[in-house]
Amino acid sequence: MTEKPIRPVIEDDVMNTPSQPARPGESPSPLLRNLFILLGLVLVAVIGFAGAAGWLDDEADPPKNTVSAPDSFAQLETPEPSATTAALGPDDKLSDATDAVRIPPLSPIIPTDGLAMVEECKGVVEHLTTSLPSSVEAREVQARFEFEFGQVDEAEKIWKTILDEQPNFVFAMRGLGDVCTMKGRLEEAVRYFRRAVIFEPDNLSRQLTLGTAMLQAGKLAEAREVLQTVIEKSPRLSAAHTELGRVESQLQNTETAVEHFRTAIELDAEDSQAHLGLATALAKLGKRDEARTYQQRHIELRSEQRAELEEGRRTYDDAVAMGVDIANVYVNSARVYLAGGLTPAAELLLLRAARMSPGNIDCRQALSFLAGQKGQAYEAIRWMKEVAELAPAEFNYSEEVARLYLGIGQPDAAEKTLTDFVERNPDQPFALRSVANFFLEATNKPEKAIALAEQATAIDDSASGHAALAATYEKCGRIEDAAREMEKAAELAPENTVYKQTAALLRESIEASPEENPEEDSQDKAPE
Amino acid sequence: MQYSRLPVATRIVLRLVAICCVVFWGCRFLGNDCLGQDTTIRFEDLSQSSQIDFIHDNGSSGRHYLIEAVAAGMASFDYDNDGDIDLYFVNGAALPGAARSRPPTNQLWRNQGQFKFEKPSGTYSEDRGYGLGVTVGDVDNDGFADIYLSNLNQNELLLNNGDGTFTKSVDETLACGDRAGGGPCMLDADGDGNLDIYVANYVDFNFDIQATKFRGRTVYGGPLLYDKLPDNFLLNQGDGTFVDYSQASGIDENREWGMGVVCFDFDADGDTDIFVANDSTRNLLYENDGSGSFFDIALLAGVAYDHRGDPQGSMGADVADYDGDLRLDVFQTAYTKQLATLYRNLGDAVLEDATLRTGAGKGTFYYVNWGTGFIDLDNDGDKDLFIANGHIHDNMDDLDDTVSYRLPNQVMQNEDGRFRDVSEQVGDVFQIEASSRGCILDDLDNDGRVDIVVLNSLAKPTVMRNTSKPQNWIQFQLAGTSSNREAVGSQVIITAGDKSQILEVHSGRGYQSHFGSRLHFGLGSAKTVEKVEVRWHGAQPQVFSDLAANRIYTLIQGQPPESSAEVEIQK
Repeated sequence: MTEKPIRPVIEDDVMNTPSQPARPGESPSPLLRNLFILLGLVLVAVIGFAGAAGWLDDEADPPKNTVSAPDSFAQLETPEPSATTAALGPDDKLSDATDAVRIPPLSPIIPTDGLAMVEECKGVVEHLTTSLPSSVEAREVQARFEFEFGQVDEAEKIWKTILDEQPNFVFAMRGLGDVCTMKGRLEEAVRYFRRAVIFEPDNLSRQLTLGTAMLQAGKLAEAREVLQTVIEKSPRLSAAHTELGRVESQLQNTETAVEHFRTAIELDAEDSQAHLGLATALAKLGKRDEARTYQQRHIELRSEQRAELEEGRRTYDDAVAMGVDIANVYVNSARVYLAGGLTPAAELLLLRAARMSPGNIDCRQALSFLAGQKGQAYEAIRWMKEVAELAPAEFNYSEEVARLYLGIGQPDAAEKTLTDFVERNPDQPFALRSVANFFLEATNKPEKAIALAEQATAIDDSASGHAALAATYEKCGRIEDAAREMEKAAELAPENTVYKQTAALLRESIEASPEENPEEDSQDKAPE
Repeated sequence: MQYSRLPVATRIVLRLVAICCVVFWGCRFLGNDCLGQDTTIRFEDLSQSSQIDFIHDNGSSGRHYLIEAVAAGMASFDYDNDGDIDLYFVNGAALPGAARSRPPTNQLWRNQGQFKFEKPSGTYSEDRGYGLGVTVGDVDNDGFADIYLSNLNQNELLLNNGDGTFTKSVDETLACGDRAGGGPCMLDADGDGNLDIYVANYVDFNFDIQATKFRGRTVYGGPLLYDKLPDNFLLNQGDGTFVDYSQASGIDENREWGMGVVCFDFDADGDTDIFVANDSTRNLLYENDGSGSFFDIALLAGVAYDHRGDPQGSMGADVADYDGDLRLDVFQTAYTKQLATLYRNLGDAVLEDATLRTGAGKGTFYYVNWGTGFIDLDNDGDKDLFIANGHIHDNMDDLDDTVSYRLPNQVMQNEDGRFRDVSEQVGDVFQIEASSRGCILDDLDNDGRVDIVVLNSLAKPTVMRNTSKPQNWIQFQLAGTSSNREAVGSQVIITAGDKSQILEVHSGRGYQSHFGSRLHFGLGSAKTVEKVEVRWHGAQPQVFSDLAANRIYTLIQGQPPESSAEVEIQK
């Protein structure tokens, strides 16, 4: 057995340094040494988080709470993170305490040069595959990285190796389909996409990709078959109708093409290509006047899109764009690290991704989740608030923030988060109802709950909307109103026997004990 | 072990294997026609022996000005009327940051016959502007073809003096200001017998606009970084002067990023219409009302976008009747990750994208395509396709597997209206990788087979001699009298056996290039053309009967055909 050589840890490349055994006698004892490392890093982490980013916002760290996982991470088994570099930002200087964890080789300062960014990312991906040599997901990340950054041949090699080992690995099939498309091997691309669809028969997006690939490869009859299947499964998918319209045009079934283009426009009035397809198909049929109408609409829609495209092109910044792309690689790598139990590595990459890509939701969501796992509720809230700010019309994120606030016993902050949301987005019935429930269940404010529930039903005059309002009334003890709304729901959806039965039950309860309805007398005073 | 002692099953298998081998190698020996896989099209590389030492210079210094990436076109025409088709290469000029000890110039190469070319001195055809496109036509109807150049700055008209020299026109209208020109072409838009000029303009070029960074490397940015300009239409007044008719003709109502242009009578109404291939945006198809007023109908005609409704990085364009219905169809080259597109003319002012059905775009998806031309390369009576390829990015090969600056060119063989990429079978010259731009397709050795020359960016041209299996052919050199002298816009329809074919004389086609003034028809096994109808542009047609194959005919408007001696078909 040979002893591994020791080299001094240089500050700049400390993150590259894998864990190394200490020479006997070099430090007092491994236990003591690790304790010092642990304390040092915790200190750095606390200072780093509080000082550099102001995350704590003068609030005391709350007791531990459990944060519900974001969707994309929910399925991963996340081990308890150790208190090491997990909390460190990539610009924070580390001591040789990094020996204790295996972290990817990030440079201390985020590169600004595109080539350096790619090089760094390459190092991370290599670290990922080396750290988790048996992880097929790690190699998938590597292959996708190579593909996205131009090394298509290398990507193809990796994906083929994966498929040799795991013939059912759908990501590799899709990757190889992308490679073949990129290389102009369109028929081969079809073969891979078709294989992927076999393993994901219910994934309509994949089937649509297959149909498009078939069209591009000139396999028109097959493309029609696939797209017809997609439409059978999802008749309201406008993109499928547009694509099938194209196929039918190519097959010279102009009348059928017209039908599909018309359906696509009914489903999505902003689909400029469906308008163009319809205009040219109508022109082919000699219906020039009608064709001109759709042509005009197409021109209007296209000019809007083109203005956006041209503006995007003119303001394109390579470093920013690369930051966004590489952040995505880091987020995907982090997922794999997490699955492999290397939480510190994952967290480091997520932090880097957040800095590189200020608009990246995934990394912030994941960081929130991880902070929650560690009991750092304020960090969790901070990250989730950033997510909510990035997607101000997405209720789920604000709801998550509110839930986190509730978890640390701050219902007022939760309420403010939710009321701010519905004030910003007064046209989202689902959000209004959810906030109404919040007022009922968390803060016991029935008047506010009823107001919001009524606001929701005013927007969404559906059977389910009235049923939901009925439920709110019932919870607030306004049985008469509840019965009325439930009857309305039953009237709107006569096939729904539950509505009917519930309405009947409510009526029965009113008739059985009218004096027990305390709110009955004050119905007229209920907030509108 | 003796064969007879082998088990019966083994003997049967061995016999079958032997039979298969015999059939396979036999077919290969016989030319493989029986397998339906091979082609009779063949080319040989004569780049060295042609003596052409022109090297294209895009004026680059590493700053990556967009204009470098799109240069340049070339032309083939008989400038000295000696019966041999000569070559004209468009060249760049030093751009800011670049120093050249000797300024690059355009070069005229005279065809001496036998595939030997010389660079004549003292022709004054060496324009020193930054050249992008070229077209050729007899604007003064003096019987000698003139050259019009679209440049980065001022365009030029070089008038052919008829004595082997050229004189620059002093008409400032022809300069078209300081616009970065794309493809130029000539047409007699108003039927007055004088050739007018259309110039597509590429971008409102500005040296201050920085090149794009991509993955940390400086690369050519696309046209989207620049403003668009309207194209120019210059009306020939017949007295040696031109007027800018862009506004009056309706041309300047549209602004796109113009590249290749081809003029043709797409609706068979007797006047000449204009197709403009535009980069990264919709194409234009100008319908001529016969008086020189134009209206864009590309969208409803079905040629503005590809079959998906997507704009393409359209580069070059050519027209011909690929399916034998006597309607002129359009083929257009495109950027990488797009299919070069074939638009089939259905009549009634409607074309349809027939790329997928015909296989015309097969094999083009990966490449950036530039120069192109419809031509009957194997003389079987239908129009094949040639496509010149090369990426714009000259410094990405090591960074990106999907970018190859130098690429092989392609031949798509027409088989009863379907196209097959036969590039790998037509000769080693199609394995040469260069960054090709403009190209010409003409019969340079008058042997009845159309040859190809390709301008390669930053390199020598590729000169390809057609050595395909000989079949019968016929060629027509038209000369108008009441029509314009070059007979641009005139059509010839021939009937040989049960097959009719149509060709039209164009000035300007492919990628900012000019070729094919002498019309070439492949005849297959037919030795006589029973009927030749010449539809002179703006004048009465003429019909001739029973013209013998394998000759070059000069057709002077109003006169009987004059034939060259029969060209012996080389075996």
